[in-house]
Amino acid sequence: MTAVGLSPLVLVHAAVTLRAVDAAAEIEPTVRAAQSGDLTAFARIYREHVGRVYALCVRLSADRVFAEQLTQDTFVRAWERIATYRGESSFATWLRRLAINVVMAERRVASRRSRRVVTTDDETLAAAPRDRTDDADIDLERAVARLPEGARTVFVLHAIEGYRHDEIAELTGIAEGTSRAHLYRAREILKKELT
Amino acid sequence: MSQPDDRELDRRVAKLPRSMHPERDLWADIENRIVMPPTMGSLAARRRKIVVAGAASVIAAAAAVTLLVTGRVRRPPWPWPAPSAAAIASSLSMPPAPVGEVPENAKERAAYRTAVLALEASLTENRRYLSTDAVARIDQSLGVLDHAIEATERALALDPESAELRSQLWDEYQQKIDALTAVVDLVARTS
Repeated sequence: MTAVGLSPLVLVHAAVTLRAVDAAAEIEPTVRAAQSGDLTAFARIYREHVGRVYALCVRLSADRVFAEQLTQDTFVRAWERIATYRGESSFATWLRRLAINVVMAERRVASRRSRRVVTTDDETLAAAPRDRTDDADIDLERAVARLPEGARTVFVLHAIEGYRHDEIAELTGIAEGTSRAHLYRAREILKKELT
Repeated sequence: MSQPDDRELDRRVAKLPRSMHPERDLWADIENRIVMPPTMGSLAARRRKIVVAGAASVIAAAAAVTLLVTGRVRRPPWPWPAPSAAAIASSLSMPPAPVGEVPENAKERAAYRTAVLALEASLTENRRYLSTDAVARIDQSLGVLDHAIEATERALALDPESAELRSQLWDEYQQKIDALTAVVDLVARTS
């Protein structure tokens, strides 16, 4: 027999978000449906965005397996907070920021409990995705994964994801100048690594 | 290969894919986390939690009534109506205890029934203060829970020694109490 049940989260989520939906006239229909508690619509959102979220989590964590957990956390949190999305930015942008917040929060927790120790010998380090064959890209992915955490974070957010240094500072809690320094360091390391 | 300069690095970065797919589909796990409550510990721990949750739920129901009476938007007229005999009678129409229920389960089941009775009576009396959509969703969700509980109780009646079924039934009781508590709280917060 299969256990069937809905958590209170579903009940409260559905009812409380009803009022928020009306205020978001510009929100795309699938997101609006998810905001009103439609889990099928949220599954469509997942299908559409999982690749981008997972890529971000892989590069920020340098760990493909852990990135799966972070991706799950991101979408669970997105479901919990989808009522707060009001359409000020694209949904993809909102979701990416949520993913970054999830990664940063996990890092803070991990650093407190020293649960994870990532070294450059870790076999789960973010090698290139397996469906890609471009050796140069694979080398770059691996080189990025080997960057020190701070430099990697800034490089991924700035050079790959396109965030400005002031946005990175806000997202990660570092100073803008620190962000610039991390980027410079990352680029120098990468240029040397890719020799 | 010569050392790539900044332009070469930028060129390579620009070629990196912005999207990667995990090696397995994560949706099933995500869906489970959304629709199912977190798993609890041992069966004994779950039983203890049922008893505690039962008491807490009665308190929550009383607190919800107090909140509604003492000042919320669209609060019901004073005095707050006590659960009617009809509501209580309706709440009592729960499925019978499974045949072969072992005595050690009776205490927890009684706590569960007491909690559900109080919460359902409160909900029945005050559902008119919720929107139609919210009521529909709540009824649908509680219906799913009731259906699951009934199915598990029937299965347990046929196989009373099944620890797995008993564990599942406690889980479902817990979900029902959690759900009703959340709804009563919702009435208090959004009415």
